[in-house]
Formats: sequence, C-alpha cells, structure tokens
Amino acid sequence: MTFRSLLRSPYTGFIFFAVLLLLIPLAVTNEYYLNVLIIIGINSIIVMGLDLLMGYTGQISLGHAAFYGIGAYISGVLSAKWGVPPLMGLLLALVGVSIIAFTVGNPTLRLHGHYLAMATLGFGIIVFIFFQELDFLTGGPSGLVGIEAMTLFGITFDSDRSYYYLVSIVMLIILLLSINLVNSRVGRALRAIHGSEIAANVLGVKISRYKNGIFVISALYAAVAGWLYAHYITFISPSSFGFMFSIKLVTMVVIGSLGSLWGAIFGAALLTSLPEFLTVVEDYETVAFGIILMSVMIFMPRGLLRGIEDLVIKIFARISDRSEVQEKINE
Amino acid sequence: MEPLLITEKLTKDFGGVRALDNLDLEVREGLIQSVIGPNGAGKTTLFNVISGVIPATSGVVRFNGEIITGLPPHRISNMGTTRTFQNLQLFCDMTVLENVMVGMHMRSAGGFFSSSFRLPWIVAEERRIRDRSIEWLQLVGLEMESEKIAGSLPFGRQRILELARALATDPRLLMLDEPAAGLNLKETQDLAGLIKRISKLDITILLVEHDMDLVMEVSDHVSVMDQGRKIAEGDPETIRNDEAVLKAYLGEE
Repeated sequence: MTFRSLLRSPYTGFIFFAVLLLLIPLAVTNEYYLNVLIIIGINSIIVMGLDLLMGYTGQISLGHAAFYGIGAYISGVLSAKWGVPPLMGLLLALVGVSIIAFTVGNPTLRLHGHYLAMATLGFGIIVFIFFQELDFLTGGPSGLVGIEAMTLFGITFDSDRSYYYLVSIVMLIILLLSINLVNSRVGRALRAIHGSEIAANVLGVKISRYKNGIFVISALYAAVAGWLYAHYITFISPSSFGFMFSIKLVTMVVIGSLGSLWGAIFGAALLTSLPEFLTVVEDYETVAFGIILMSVMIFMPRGLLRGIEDLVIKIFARISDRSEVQEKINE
Repeated sequence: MEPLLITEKLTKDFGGVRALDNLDLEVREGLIQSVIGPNGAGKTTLFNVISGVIPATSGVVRFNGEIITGLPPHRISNMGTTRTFQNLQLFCDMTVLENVMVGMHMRSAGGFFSSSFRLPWIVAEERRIRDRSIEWLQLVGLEMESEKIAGSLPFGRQRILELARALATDPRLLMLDEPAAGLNLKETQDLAGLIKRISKLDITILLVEHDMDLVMEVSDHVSVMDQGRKIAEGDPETIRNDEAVLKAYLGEE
C-alpha cells in the first residue's frame, strides 16, 4: 500500500479519530466538560444514522427524536419497573425499534419530499403523546425515575470518565460500521437513489428495500443513543424526545455537511456544545445561536465540513498562484 | 429462433392521447435495431413501457419468451435488459467509477449486514466490482477520468458514461434512448464506432435516435413509428426509399 492510498483510505481518518477520542480524558479532567463530551457522543450516534438517511439516501425524517425516545424508554422502563439489566434492555429496545421503524417506514418512504417530512413529523408527535399519556409505564410528563446505572458484563459505569469511554467505544464501533457501509455496494445504491431513483431502479436497485433498510438502521442508531442516554442520566422525560429535538438533529446533519459522516460528528459536536459556550453572552444566547446558524448556511451552504474544505483548497490555490507569479517576476 | 424482445398489441394511453397504438415489434438477438419516427411518435414511451418505468394500458411485452409487462423496473433489469435516458440520469455527485460500480449492482450480492461488517467475501467482491468497472471504462475510453465527479464531465462524456454504466449490468439487450442528442459530429462518429463494438460483445441493441446518419450507419434493421403505430420496417436502404416514411417525416404533398 502506497502512502498516497493510505492517506486516501477512509480508515486512516478513523484511526486518528479513535486515538484522539481515547486520549481526550487525559487532557480534560473537568467533570462538566466530560459530561458535554458524553452528550456530544450520544448525539453524534443519532446524527450519523440520520445522515445515512438524509445525506446519503436523500430521504428526510423529522421524527428521529421518537426513535431515540423509544430506545430510551424501552430500556428505561424495563430497568426501572422490573430491574431488567441494561444489556437485555438494549436488545429488546433494538428489536422493538426495528419493528416500529419497519412498520412506519414501509408506507411512509413511498412519499417524497415535503410529504415524507410531514409523515415523519406526524409519527414523531404521535410517539411523543404516547410518552406523555402512558403514565403507568413512562411516568407521564413528569418523567421516569429509578433507571439503573449502566452495568455491562459486571462493570458499572458510574463515573463520567468511565461513561465517556463507554460512549466513545460504542460511537467508534458505529462509525466504523457506517464507514464500511457507505463504501460498499449498499452505500453506492443509497447514493444512487439520492442521485436518480429512476436510473437506480433500471440498473436493478430495488428502491423500497434500500430505503426501508437504511430507515431501520438509522432508527437503530437512534435507539442505541437513547439507551446510552437513559442509563447515563438515569432519569428521562418526554421533553427530551420532542419535535424540537428532531429539528435539532436535522440541523446538525445540515450544518455539519450532508452526506459526510465526519460532517455529522462535526455538526453534532458544534450544536451540542455551542449553547454551552454561548452562556457567556447570557440573555442573547438564542439570538447568537440563530445568527451563527444563519451565517454558516449563507457563507457555507454545503455545510461546515465541506465549507472549510473548500476554503482550504481556495487558500492553497491562492498561495500557489502567488508563488507562480513570484517565479515569473524572478525570471 | 424466437426474437429476444417482442411487443404484442402494445398500447399506452395518456388521458385521451394514444402514445402507443397496438404496436407489434420484434427485436432479434444479436442485431442493432433502430426505432425512428417524427417527434411525438411514441418512441420514448415505448422505452418507458418496456423498461417498466410506466405501465402499459394493454398488450404484452415478452423478453426472452417471458412476459415482463407489469414487472417493476429492477425485475426487468434483472432479466437482462437495461436502458439509458434521453435526458441524462447520472448520479452527478458520485465519481465516474462509482457510477459504473452502481451498474454492477445486480452482478454482486453484498447486503446491509455483510457490508457493515465488511466480511472477507465483501472485500473480494469489492475488488471484483472495481476491476470489472474499470474494464468497462476502458472499453468506452473513460478510464482516465475515473476519479472525476460525474457531474463535472462535459456533456458528451456524460452520455458515454451513462452507456458504460448500463453496460456494467451485463445486459443481453441494451436500449439506448437518443444517445447522440446533443453530441457534435465527431462525438457522434465515435459513438457509432462504440455502438458497433458493443454489438460485437453479443449485446443486442435497440436504438431510438433522431440522427439519421447514425441510424443508417449502424443499424441492421429499422422500424419506423408514427403516432404510436409502426408504419414501416426493413433494412436501412429500404427505409430510406419508403413512401410512407417520407410522408410521415415530410408531410403530405
């Protein structure tokens, strides 16, 4: 393998990122920062899944907070009410969410554009109402207490540091699976559907199979994130899984850069941490947040990651132009 | 020998307009067959119905002896026939090579699970897909541009790419919908050479085209359509001198 191909391999970036993630706790010891990093990790799992659906396949979902919530509530309720261990809870959450996602996705993914957006939006709202109204299970609007802390294979993850490592490892596994997926026959089929459904179809791609498949996978990612969240905070309430959070997830995908897993992580990190940084401007927090989002979209319409890429390329081009001119002058 | 593709009394109505009117057409294996006709004759509708993109109103299409009317496009493609589009339908954000690799979709098997975990056979399959796709690009002369983004290619090259992508499905019958539209003289001549080379690979070609020089140069057999009906049929020389054809193109005297 040559140096060049090593540099271009999608796995090189993964290895650097993995090392970085596992080294961060050596530098960051502040519990509060670790807490923010954990939430970033959890959010980026959902956003990666949503990016596979939106950025790669071109199908919008305004209801992904629902899958996040269902994952959290299945494992959370089982743990709080019947003491079911988290690993078992995760398994049941994954089974439950995949059944729900398939049942919802099968009819709705036949819709396109705004209609699909409306259908998934409706789904998200229905699920939110269920969280609120099934109070004998979910505790209703006031929330569900008594979820046990994460215990896996006899190890209890009760400190922020240990939980950080758990979330990082889960996230890295999901990132690796996603990198594999997008660089495969399936990933190409998904992007082909995005490019031209009709052309993909006459090349033998069964559209419904791939749309449903990626919808279920992205729902499963959200469920894993919900599971991590429920056993981290050990208290969940419907307000964390509402419509506003669905919108926030979509914003993370778009701001990061559609159709790029790194963009998804970048977007999740930025939008999760930005409100924390913006507390310095106190009352104007929301205004500042809005202005930042608007400026990103105006100046970098392809998202931050691609925007920065373009900027770097432009700067390099200018530098090399200038040195060429300089050479000519010297001659 | 039975023809590879047969349409029997194929009819397609769009509201009150009859785009295909009891059309009987046969495409013999191994030939380059063209369908010509004035604008609105129903040529593109014919392609759309055969490839399953739109349903027929009545009549049947047989491919290799089996009835394919009513099947979804991917099933029809799986039986060994694919098409290109008059207005290009490339995957513009993907590279040239990736476009052709999508064409290999039916000739590979990786699913969601096996691809996510990159099982050993997936790695081998990926290599096979890539190598074979590069061969197709070499055949059409696009191998130097394999890493470029498809949407950045000049128009003529995009047409050729769409052809390469269709070839990658390894079809028995390849349907080309106006492949010369928008090409200049030189590009059209190259295309004629390419079509002949493809034909030598035992691929039957059904060509819808406006460019008469191209049609007359490459075709073994020409069918002429007008207002959804077949009005003449024969080798290029016969068609050139056919009364009904001249009338359809030039109007009544």
